Amino acid sequence: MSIFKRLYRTCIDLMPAAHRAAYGDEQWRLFEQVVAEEAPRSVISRVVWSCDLLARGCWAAMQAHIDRHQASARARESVWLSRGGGGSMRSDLRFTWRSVRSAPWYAASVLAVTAVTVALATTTFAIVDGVLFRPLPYPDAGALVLIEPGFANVPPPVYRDRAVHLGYVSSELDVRNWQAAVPDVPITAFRAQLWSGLSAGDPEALTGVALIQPNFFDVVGVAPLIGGFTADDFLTEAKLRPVIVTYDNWLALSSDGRNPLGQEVITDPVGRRGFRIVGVMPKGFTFPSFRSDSSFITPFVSDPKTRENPAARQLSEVIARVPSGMSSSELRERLMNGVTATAAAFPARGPKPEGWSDNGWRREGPYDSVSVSPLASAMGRQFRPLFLAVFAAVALLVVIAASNVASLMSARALERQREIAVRRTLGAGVWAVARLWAVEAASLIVTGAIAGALATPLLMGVMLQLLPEAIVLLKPPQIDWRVAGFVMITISLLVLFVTIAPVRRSLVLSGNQNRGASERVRTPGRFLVVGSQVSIAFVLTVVGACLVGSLMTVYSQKQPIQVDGVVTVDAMFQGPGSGGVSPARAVREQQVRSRLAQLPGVISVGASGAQVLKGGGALPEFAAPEGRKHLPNQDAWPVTEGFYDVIAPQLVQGRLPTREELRTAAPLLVVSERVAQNLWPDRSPLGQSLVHWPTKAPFTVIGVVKEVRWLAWDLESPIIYAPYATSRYPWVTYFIRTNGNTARMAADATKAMVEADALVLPRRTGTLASIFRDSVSLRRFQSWLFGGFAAAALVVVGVGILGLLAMSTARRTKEVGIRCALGATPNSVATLVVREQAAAVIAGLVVGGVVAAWAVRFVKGYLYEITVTDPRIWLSAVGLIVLTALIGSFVPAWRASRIDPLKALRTE
Amino acid sequence: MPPTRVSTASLPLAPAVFHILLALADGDAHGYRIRADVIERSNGALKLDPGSLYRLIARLTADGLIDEAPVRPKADEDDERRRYYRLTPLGKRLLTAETDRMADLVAVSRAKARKATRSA
Repeated sequence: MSIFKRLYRTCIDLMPAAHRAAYGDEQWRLFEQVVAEEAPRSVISRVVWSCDLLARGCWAAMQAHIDRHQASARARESVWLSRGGGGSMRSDLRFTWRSVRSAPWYAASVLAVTAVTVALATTTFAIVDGVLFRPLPYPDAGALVLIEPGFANVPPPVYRDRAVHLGYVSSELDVRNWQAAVPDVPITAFRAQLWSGLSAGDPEALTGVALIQPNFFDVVGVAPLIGGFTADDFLTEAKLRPVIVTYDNWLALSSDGRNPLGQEVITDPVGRRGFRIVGVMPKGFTFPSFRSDSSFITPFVSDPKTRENPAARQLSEVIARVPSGMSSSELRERLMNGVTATAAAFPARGPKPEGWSDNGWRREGPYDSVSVSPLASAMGRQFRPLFLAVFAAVALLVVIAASNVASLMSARALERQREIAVRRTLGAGVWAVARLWAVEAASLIVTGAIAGALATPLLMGVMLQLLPEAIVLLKPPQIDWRVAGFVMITISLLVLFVTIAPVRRSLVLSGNQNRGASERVRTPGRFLVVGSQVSIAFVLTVVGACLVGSLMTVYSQKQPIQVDGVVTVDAMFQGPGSGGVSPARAVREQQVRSRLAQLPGVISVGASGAQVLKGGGALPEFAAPEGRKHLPNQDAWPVTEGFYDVIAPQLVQGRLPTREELRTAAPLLVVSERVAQNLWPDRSPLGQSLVHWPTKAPFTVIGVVKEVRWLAWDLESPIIYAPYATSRYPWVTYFIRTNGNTARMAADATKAMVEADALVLPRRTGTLASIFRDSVSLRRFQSWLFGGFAAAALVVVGVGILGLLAMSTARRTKEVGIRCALGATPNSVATLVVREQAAAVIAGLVVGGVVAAWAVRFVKGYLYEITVTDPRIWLSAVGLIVLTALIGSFVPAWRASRIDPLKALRTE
Repeated sequence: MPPTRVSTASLPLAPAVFHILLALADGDAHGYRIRADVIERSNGALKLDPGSLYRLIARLTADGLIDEAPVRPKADEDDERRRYYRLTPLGKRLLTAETDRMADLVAVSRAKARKATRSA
């Protein structure tokens, strides 16, 4: 054997043993044949040819070793696949990681959609849970009912700052007669109201105080944890009222290490009036009032003067515990006997005066009906419709997100059909495929949910800033186990729901392996998904646009006064002259104002005896001229000298009082435009006079000014401006115009006021601009909430369309390549991709439009100077949806248009 | 499980693999016949050496694209030391897919060429 052949034999020996055993002999025989037939004759050529053959033999041996290693790896992978895609969760997770790495658009879309949805849903649930779902913390709470008197067939009055009418209050006689009518049903009543000055460290904060009847704890079924009231506490009103505080309040009061029991909370240092803590309620107790979140419980002391008076209605709510076997209608029928008894005791009223409406006059008289409703539904009912709407919006958002993620995963299943088919061929069962998708879905959704949960505290902070004080929650809005449970359930349902579509698609497709991986896929499912998402997002956008549009309209209302650089300080006078029309208080007010004027940076100082943008001032204390009625919400503002200098109102007619006239309390009035038009529609208001009820003194109108929305930014506020001496109430608001830092001025002013008069209690400070903004806090809350939902829905829909199209166009790379090769321009390819979504978007807009037209009726009552049919609302909502769909479509379309045809055709 | 290198079944096929499958498309063949067919079809451009040929045959067999033919020629035409190979159904489908792909490529090339001619 020649050396050449021996060397080639060595090459064959270098082959892996298995290969050598299988093909060694064949290779050797072929080699001999090749040498015999193809070897060149000349020596040099033969040597070169032999060396080439040897080198190729060595190269083949080396490649065969590499092949063997790869075959082993593939075999291991096959075994793993045949076990159903992995024997362990770790393997599944590793495979998911590889899968999402190869499809970043898909992974990013699922993560973004889940994170946005979970963040918003968690925050919202933490707040609405306290009103909608939490069971009442009383034993056998289902037996507790709320008894409310009323007037049959008379609509409730409308209040400016309430979403719904809170119900009529009851007199002691009402409650006694009801109890007499149903002696077998325990009934109790209380008065719940907001007091200021009870919160240590924050004099501005309002605290809920409930004045209860002696049997309150028996009816509700919860007794104080520590302490309690004595029978005497309900008989005489002590200067220091005994009070039982809630558990949370107790903890707050004992934070300095002192035992709160026996502590005093002084609200009037002069009269030494206030509260003395005598007990604490059990943890988790919530006072059963829908009017205020009461954390102080104190006895209601019956006043002998009003005890028998049916018109002295002081008890805000009445609760009864219905015995088993008695229905609400039976209770209501029996209570009507009590209503009749009270009506009989009502003093005779004479004929209806001129100018009164029938309903208005009836509301002044005795009640003629009574209603009974479960306490659970009555609690938080003021904001229940709002919160239900919010929860519905959350549910819609979750539905959009779920369908979005499901469609993305379904599209992903198309991409992975070959891999799934291999798994199925190798023996993977239905459950193994389902588990693979479930692990992938759970991994992505849980990661997205964690990102969303991390953003929740931030979002919750924003939401709580916006939450109006008036909203009564049955638990503090926080992330507790109930919220955590809600998130877990949401995630589980999401995973379950979104796993079904890809599993189904995988199993259907795995039986159809001839389907090309790059063929065009246009399913009715995708049309439905995009269309339904667009329709839901459209509904949320229209509702959001209505509310945000209203808020923007309010914000665009410029006040006809100087607002910039004005600081206001609410204060309350205690001590001499704090009640009634009092020269003593006028003197003290003047002293405080003088002190404020001396502060550096102060340009001018004025004051008003009104609670600015917080429920108004002194009511219309001037009698209307003969035959005229005051406007709703009309207010009288006692103002001091300097007031007009600070706010600089726009004069329409006449003049403003001089400083001297204000200082000497000259009987002169300035009225706002609507007051003038209402009281003197056919003549000039200048020179007309109005009589001040308390003093019977006539006052002359000398000027008309533009109307300022002093009650709330979104409320017309007809005002009569009078001298400060007419003020009958102890509260006052100082207006300070400064050219310095307003925040510092507020702090300096508060300090200076107390220095000037130790018995002045400063309560609320802020810039005039900020208190205007705060006056529409409920509107702002609604707008942010629904605007946020609309924005989130748009993001989810945009991301969903983007992800779906990105995957779809990636799958259609080859088709796009052929189109480009056949002359399609990048623009025409982009247009094609965008156009294909148009039908789904238009269908979504039509369906969403119909639903939105129905849904806007629920927000009708919250709108301000815009209607639900305002074309601007609808056009901007359509514009936003179309823009979102375009953005979602544009990126994939742009990518598709840049595909290189040659590369595309090689793509599989 | 780390991803392994692409198998011979991945499109586009390597030229040698394509020619081996093509050689077997005419019917069962042994190594020598396959090699001769490949050289003839490629006009001598693809001269498979014995080592490379049997390495590829081993890989194609492992990937399930070819296997040993059970039916042998008549005794007088047969050399019992030879083994005959044939295409499996998967190998046939793969060959068809590769042929379609190439046909697409040709279509694109022709379209481009026509466009270029027109614009010239």
